[in-house]
Amino acid sequence: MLNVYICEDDKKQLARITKAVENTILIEELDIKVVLSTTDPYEVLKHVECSTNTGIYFLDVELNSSIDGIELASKIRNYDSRGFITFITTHPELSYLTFKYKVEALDYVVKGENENLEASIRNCILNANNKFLSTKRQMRKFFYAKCGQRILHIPYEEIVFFETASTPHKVILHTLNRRIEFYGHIGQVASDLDDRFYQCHKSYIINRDQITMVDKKKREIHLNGDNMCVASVRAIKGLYD
Amino acid sequence: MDCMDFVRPLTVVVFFFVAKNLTDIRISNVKFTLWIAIAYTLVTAVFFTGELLASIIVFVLLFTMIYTNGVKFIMSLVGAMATFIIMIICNTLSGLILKEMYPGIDYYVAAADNFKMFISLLISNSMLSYTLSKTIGFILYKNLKIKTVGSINRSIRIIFFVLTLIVLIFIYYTSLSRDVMRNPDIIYIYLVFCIFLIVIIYFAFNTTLKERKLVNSKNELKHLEEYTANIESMYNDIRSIRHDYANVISSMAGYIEDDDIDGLKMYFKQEIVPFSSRMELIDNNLSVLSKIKEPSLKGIIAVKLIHAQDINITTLLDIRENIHITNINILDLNRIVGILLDNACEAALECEKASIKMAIVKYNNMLTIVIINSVKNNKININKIFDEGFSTKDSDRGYGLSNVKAILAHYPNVLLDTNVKESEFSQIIYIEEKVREDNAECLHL
Repeated sequence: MLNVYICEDDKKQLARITKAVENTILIEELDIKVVLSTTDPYEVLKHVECSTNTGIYFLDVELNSSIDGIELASKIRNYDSRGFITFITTHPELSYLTFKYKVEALDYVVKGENENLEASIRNCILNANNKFLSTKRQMRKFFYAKCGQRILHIPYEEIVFFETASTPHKVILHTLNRRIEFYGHIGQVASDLDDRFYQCHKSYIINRDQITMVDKKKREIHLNGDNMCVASVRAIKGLYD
Repeated sequence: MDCMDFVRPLTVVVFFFVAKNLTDIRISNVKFTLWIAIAYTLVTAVFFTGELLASIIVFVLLFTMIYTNGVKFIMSLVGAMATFIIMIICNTLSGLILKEMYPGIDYYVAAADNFKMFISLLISNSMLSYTLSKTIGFILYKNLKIKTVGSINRSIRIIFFVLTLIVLIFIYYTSLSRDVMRNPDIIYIYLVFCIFLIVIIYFAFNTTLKERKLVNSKNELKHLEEYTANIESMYNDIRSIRHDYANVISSMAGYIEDDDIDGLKMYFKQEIVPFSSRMELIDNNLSVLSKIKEPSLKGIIAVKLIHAQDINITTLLDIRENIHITNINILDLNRIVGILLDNACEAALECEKASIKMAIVKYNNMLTIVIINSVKNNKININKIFDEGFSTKDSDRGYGLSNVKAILAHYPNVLLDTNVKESEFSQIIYIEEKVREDNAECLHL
């Protein structure tokens, strides 16, 4: 069950957006409820604080209040870290990076384009609903990498290997198209993972499914994406046991 | 079984204090007491077999204590060995002193059984060794400030190891044979050894310190040069705009003088409209730049983005909050941002729709710097691009990202996330405003 919150300072716009949201829910027969539709950002916060459900939020960036939509969103994030935030704005092109990297916004809706507004709201709701259902249903396992206060989740099957960084307390996660440094200890990481991962060296953990070739003589394990890890003598023996 | 069996192993306590002084490890009192208690118990248990086994146990325990408190492997060995050297020397010294005071008694033989004599030997021994180790520790850590130097390089560490080992073997061997008592001159050889060792330590650390300082000042010079170059190119930009502006005015004056209104209209459409849109573009980016409260960083970003616009790359800069830079050296950050933006420009140019997007965002206590550029080739090997000398292009480039990696290695509070996805290459730098307690590691030898 998802809750929808709408916050927009213009009453006319607020009514339009609310209607668009309700229409979508009705037509698509979704398990979603509009909980709050308001002009006051603090009212949204009050509701979110005591709610345990995941929310879909439509927030106007320019609110006629002491805080703007982006600040409101980052406050919401403190309570609902998995919620789906969509901004309503007239100038999306200028701030969309902020939307994405500050509050991990799902999307934005451009104000003023009459026909498009309904369609974009519909898309946002469907998108959020799909994501919500798929994370619930999904059997995929995720690795949670702690980058300071941000937690990134990476599906296990995408991970090629982990290695220790030269700086203490940092570990580097490698996928085929990403390299992420995060805080942690390789031993701790190894104990959090499942069977497909194997610590082949005191500073490497590899994903067995990503192995392309093993050179037992040189003790090298070659992995997808032209990566290579060195294995310890003991570990190369235990690799397939 | 008499009380001496429990008194004799008390020497162990002195060993641990000396080791603590010598290595300057931070260890809680409780843990330290625990180590001593373990060592005391073990040594008491095995003391009847003779000194050798007890010495080995003490050595292993000392090494483990030092090693588990964040000192490098070799230096932990050196630390434990140095403890033994100091203990043996002080033992011999105090033996000699007592011999002078009470001639005619072989202190070692007497002390083995006589409680009083043992205690007097132990007290003088511990006072001597404590003072000596404290002095050495003071010189190393307070005077030479070795902690701030961080780790000394590997070859020096190995030289240390070998030297200490030789000295230890020599001293241990001579002290075992009790030659010292019969031939007190040997103490001078000890002293010479010690002085030799201390001089070497002093020079080694002094050189490391000087080296470090040199590298630092070289780096600073480099940063300064880069910064000056940036300012220069910014100045040139402004000059060229001023020049264009003057040209526009004078051509307009020409048309007006000739009363050529049609010509003026044409000229306005063809020249002035694009010119002002270019000005506007720059203005747009510059207005957001004012949120960065760090002039040099602002300068770097301005220069690089204006340059990108000049070579027809669409740029976007998104900064909504005031940005103050803390917890990273501003010169380092400038350098990193400079390198990343240069790389972004280079890669973006290869695409049809070249674009660079940059954002600086605050996220709770964390500063996030995002640089995204379009790429033509999606199949970049993320893991290779950080290697020294790697470049997707000429061989003389490619020092950029390896430099970024090297600079960031000094910061436990900065993380880098590199990502290629859907023809976009992104670099995200996370700078934590507060260095977390468990991340801030004391640098030891």
